[in-house]
Amino acid sequence: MAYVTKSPWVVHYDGSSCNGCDIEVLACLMPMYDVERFGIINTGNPKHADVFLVTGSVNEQNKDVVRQIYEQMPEPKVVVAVGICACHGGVFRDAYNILGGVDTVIPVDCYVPGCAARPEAIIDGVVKGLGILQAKREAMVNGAKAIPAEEEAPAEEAPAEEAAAPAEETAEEIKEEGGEA
Amino acid sequence: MGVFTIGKVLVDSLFKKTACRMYPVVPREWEERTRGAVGIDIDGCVLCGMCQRACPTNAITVDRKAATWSIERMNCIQCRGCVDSCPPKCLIMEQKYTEPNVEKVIDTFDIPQKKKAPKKDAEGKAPAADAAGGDGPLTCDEETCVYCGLCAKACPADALEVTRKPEKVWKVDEEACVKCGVCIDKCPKDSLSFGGAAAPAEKAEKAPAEEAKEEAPAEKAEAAAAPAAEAGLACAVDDCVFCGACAEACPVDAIKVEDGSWEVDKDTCIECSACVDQCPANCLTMNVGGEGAAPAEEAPAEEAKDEAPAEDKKEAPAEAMMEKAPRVHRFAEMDTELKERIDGFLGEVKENLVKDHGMSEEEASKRVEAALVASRVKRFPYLMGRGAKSMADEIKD
Amino acid sequence: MGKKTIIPFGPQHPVLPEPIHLDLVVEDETVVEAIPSIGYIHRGLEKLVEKKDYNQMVYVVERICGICSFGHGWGACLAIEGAMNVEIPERAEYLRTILHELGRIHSHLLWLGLMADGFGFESLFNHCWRVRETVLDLFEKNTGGRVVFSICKVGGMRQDISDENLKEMVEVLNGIKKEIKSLTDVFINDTSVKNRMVGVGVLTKEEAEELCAVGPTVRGSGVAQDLRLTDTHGVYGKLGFEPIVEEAGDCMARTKVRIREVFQSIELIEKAVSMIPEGPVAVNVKGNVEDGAEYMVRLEQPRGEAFYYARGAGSKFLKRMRVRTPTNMNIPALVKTLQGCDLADVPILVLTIDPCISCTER
Repeated sequence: MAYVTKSPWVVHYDGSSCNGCDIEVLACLMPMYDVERFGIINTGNPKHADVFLVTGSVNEQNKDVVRQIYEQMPEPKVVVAVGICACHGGVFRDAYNILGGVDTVIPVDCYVPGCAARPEAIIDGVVKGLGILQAKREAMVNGAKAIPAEEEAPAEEAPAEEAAAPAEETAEEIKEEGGEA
Repeated sequence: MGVFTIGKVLVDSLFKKTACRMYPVVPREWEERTRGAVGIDIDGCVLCGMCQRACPTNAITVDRKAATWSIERMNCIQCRGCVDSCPPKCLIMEQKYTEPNVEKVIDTFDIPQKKKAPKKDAEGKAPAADAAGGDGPLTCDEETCVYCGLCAKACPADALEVTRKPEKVWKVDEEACVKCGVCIDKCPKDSLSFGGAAAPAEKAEKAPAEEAKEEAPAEKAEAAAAPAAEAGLACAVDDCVFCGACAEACPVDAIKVEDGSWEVDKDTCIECSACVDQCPANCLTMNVGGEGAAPAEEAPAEEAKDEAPAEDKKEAPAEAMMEKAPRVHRFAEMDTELKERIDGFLGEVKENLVKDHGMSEEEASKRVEAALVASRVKRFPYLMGRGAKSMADEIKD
Repeated sequence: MGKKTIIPFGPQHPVLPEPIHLDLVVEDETVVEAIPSIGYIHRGLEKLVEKKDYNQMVYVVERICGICSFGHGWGACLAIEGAMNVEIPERAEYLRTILHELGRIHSHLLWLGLMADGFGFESLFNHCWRVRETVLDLFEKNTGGRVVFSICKVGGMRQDISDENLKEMVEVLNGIKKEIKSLTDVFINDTSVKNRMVGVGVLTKEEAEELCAVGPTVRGSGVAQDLRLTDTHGVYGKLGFEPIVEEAGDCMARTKVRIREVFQSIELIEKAVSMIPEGPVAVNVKGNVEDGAEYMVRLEQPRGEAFYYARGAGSKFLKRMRVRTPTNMNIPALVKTLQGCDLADVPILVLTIDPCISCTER
């Protein structure tokens, strides 16, 4: 079963969240959803990780930590913002201590909505992120600047392609709808 | 021995079916109540903005001028607050979540502009068009308003204040009003509208409606043999479950419901029909006074008024007059032409009595006189409307 | 005299999903002192009462913590309902109690899994969470969400749960009882687990009372303190039960308390479902909280005693909403137990009080 040929490791950090999305991220690793089928391991060390799963709207004390973890990760790396607190600030956006989403601190590659984000949505988001990761890796190898994966679907990662291809279509559909509406 | 006590669990799990849901290879089936994403039925939306107020994260934006409803998908906490607070119930919670995306998705929907269908009144005539579709502030026609308070109870924004005691007050807080139109739908008297211009148009409509009312009961008078359905509130006691919902809904406490008994104080009842709406057994009917069969008795009186203005002097003086001077017709003050008409009619009655019932002329005259004097005098105009033959049949005994 | 080193622990660490920073002053593998530094999850949501009206505030309070989410929603609703003098129907009280106990089961199973992960027993971790997924499926079927339910509102419940669903809930719970038993037997009987947990982090009865620990932390040290008996929230008074108390005061005692609470909760749910009356599940609440009207309520969350206070301001916004969560009270006990322990025991001890740092910092 060739789901993924390269096994991406994940580092997970809770950037001022309520733990709901974090529990769901851990639930992804558990037997019910089991992303370990794809070779994904939750590592504690950012220097070993490829994908950075962040939850929570970032507060003032946490922004340096998030930035540090991001900087400690080796290239190529992908950031997936899990939950609407990480996308936008969520219910806490108006609070005095909150910066409002992870993208105020580090660049985000994929947004996963939901409060708390379902494990299915997290898996979809990670798979999308893996597509972007592959594109970045190829770009690094080819020496070109990193470009997003919408134009180039990788041929090696079969499920990433399967899931990323309909996902790309959806992304384009949404873009079109967004353009029309 | 406590070594490797988990062995049994591990060995079992080797032979059991996998607990894994195998997502994304196996697609997921959602539960009925799963909260995924908010969907909208654009035909039902009235752009009232209640959802925008209810949303804890300000994810929904309702633009009345541009007629759009938009939601930031990456900001929605799927709390169902908007779904629960939507007055026309056009929002639903779909089960599938919003797909993850590389950018923050904002879905915008164009809401088609439409005029609200005007409510029809009891006679089946539609009120003036645009009565509810205007764009002005909410106004209440104080002449038709009964201050029942149903609009205030239904208002999702708490913008209405209605009191009956100590004085009748109807007030709207225009800043709080979201123009959703729920009060207009609930008003039993059609007193509410957006914009003051519609009100006179309604009144103009009502004038011909009243005239039509007067003509119609003349026909009804023939049709109805006995006093028709009870005026006001009636309960089909056989169907009644004595739950007391009507008594609770009544804004003036006119209904009393006890074990096995239901009664209404018709003097207190303001005929707002709040009870009829609440009845779970559908056993209540409201025959609003003036539209039921009661006018069937009054309208001929009105008709006869035109012909016999003296009748409006009321029966008591007429009877007193009759007692004192039996030969004096109560039509004594009528004009000559009318008198001739009545004499002619009475003559026909006499003829009928003589021919069909074999009475002598004297006998017949006496009978007619007696009829005029007796209690049948009250029904004389009605009998006249029915014709000489029927009157003869009536008084032949 | 050994050499003292300071080892910084956290905020990003594989033990807990939450950021907490501990400066561990270590002398040759023995922790002498632990200096906690919190504030990584502080969102300042109590100040959001100025911007969100009291109905929206329930959603905000619900999201203080994803694990004890139902308890927070219930507490916020109780505080606001008390301030507005609203009486909710009895069926709503029963439903709230049932969902809260279900939340307790899921929280304890989650904790058991994390504890197993804390001493490296990953397969036990996976099995516990696999069983917990059954409980989450029950939540999803009845309320629509797995983690945050949004089913409590001021005045009752948003949606009713049908009697068939409740009966099915009881059947499913009875069905997984056996599995839970086999897993918890591992905790209690396995030698390697016992080596890690027995005698570790002992909190004597006097220390526990003096440090004002709450919840299973204090019940594992011999103090029979359970708010479900003393306070009047929910229908616990009608259900009737005994608090679970263990005397030893070490990690194993606290684990046993939580394990037995899982089974007790299953029994409570069964009893409540058999006694639940028919009727409406909500009353329509309109209007604002009066200026100066205040109400406080205490709830027994899975981690201990939580306190909720609401005060009205006469408008649709509240004046004050104060939440004090159980982990707040347990952190001094944690610091006490960390003194003198082995460095390798630090994750176990941090986990044994069942820390919910997002609750603490709000």
